[in-house]
Amino acid sequence: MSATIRTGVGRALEGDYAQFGLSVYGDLVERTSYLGLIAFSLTGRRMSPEDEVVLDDLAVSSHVTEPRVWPIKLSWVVGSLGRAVPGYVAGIVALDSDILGGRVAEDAARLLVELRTALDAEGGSDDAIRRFVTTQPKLYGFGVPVRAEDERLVAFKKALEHRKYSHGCYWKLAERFWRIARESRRIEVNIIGATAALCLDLGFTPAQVAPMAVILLTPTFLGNATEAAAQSPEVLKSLPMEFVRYVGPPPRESPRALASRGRDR
Amino acid sequence: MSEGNRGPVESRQWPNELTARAVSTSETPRLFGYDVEADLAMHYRFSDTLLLSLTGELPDDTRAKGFERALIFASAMSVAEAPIHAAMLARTCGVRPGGTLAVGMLALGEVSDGILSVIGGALDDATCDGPLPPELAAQDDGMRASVARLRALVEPHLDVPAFRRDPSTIVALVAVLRACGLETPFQLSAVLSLARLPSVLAESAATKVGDFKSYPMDVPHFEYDATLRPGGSPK
Repeated sequence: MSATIRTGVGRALEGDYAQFGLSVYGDLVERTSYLGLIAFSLTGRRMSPEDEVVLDDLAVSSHVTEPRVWPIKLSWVVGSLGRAVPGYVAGIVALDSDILGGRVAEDAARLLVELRTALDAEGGSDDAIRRFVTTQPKLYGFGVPVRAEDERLVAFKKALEHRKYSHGCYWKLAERFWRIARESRRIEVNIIGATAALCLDLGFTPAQVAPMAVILLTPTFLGNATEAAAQSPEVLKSLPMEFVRYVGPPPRESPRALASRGRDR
Repeated sequence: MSEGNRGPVESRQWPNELTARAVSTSETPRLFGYDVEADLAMHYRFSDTLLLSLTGELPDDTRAKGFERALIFASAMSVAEAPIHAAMLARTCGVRPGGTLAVGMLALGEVSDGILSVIGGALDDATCDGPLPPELAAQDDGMRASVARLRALVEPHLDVPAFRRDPSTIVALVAVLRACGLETPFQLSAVLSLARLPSVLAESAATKVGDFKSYPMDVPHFEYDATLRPGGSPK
């Protein structure tokens, strides 16, 4: 076991910080956006200005403001206790889930990489995609509950069109994949699937897609947790019991309590 | 933009009650039907209540004793280990008790999930007495002695067939928890993590907030490599 950890992410210099060979104050300040900085921190690659703008578009398109959506509600419930950051952190924990958020984005990215490998071996036809779609037990990055299509993806695609963004190979492959999955399994791609495709084209590995997806979803948790903390609503700190239904076992006596009563008789 | 009263949330039917499946507080607090104040607190240990919480049933005396002993047996974790180190760092940074515990439990959960992932289905067949895969077996005599101590503690109360398969300490511990009626990854991971919580509490409570100078900042040593890219290989 090596006692030394090698890192490219950074180190403190006198009066500056280094990251992947660049100076934070000399090379990055005034030259990169916030999301560009996050992408650089994750991948070690500088994004082009065009790519940074598209990441911004993806973040804004991914912005779900509704406080009643489950993970966001979680931020409200914890934030209602009076402090914004615990509320924010609690909501972000929900994005490290088996069924939504960062890990699903990672799985969706892995699926696209697998699809590309399979197509390279099979000639790249729609039939090969169809075979892939039908043999996968689970397709990640799909599913649009309670509505026909993911409005976030609709908005993002529109933004890409307006910017005349030149799509990379993963996005082009993903569009065929999404169409065939819709036709053969009647499932609709969501913004997580699109996040995976875009990030792969920007040079992210699947493992790097997970934290990026989380960051893209972050703003709503900040806003909701902060409002929850400011309001600190009593009704959320402790729901009135009229909103609670108990369905567990009825009252019962423990074996030791029964034995103790028997002894007392 | 129209901001009418009906969005996708309003246009569908949702339950209007939160469902409680374990705790009722209508008259007296009850856990799975048992009166907490007048019954459980009078007749049971905290470890029994923990097992009740996870299984919905109170353990019989044999399981209760085996579980209690297994919890204590598993409670020590060194500050060298990431969960305790992380909780101590959180406390050094001035994180409040809830946040410090959250950090410790998050890391303990990662460790527990990893252990269960490595064990996989190796303990599923309780009747199997064949050798375990090498990565699940005791690595040395020191570990065998530790497993023997666990065996001596719980075997008067529980039959744990895995003891006969030369398990590592952690595999033996998981086998004991399974013999106590814990089966699902959620149950096992939760208990493995909770068992180590005393170490999180002990080291973080003893840590002085803001004492940054006492913390060994460069242990282990970090070496900056400007050519290294995430994933480990130089560009």
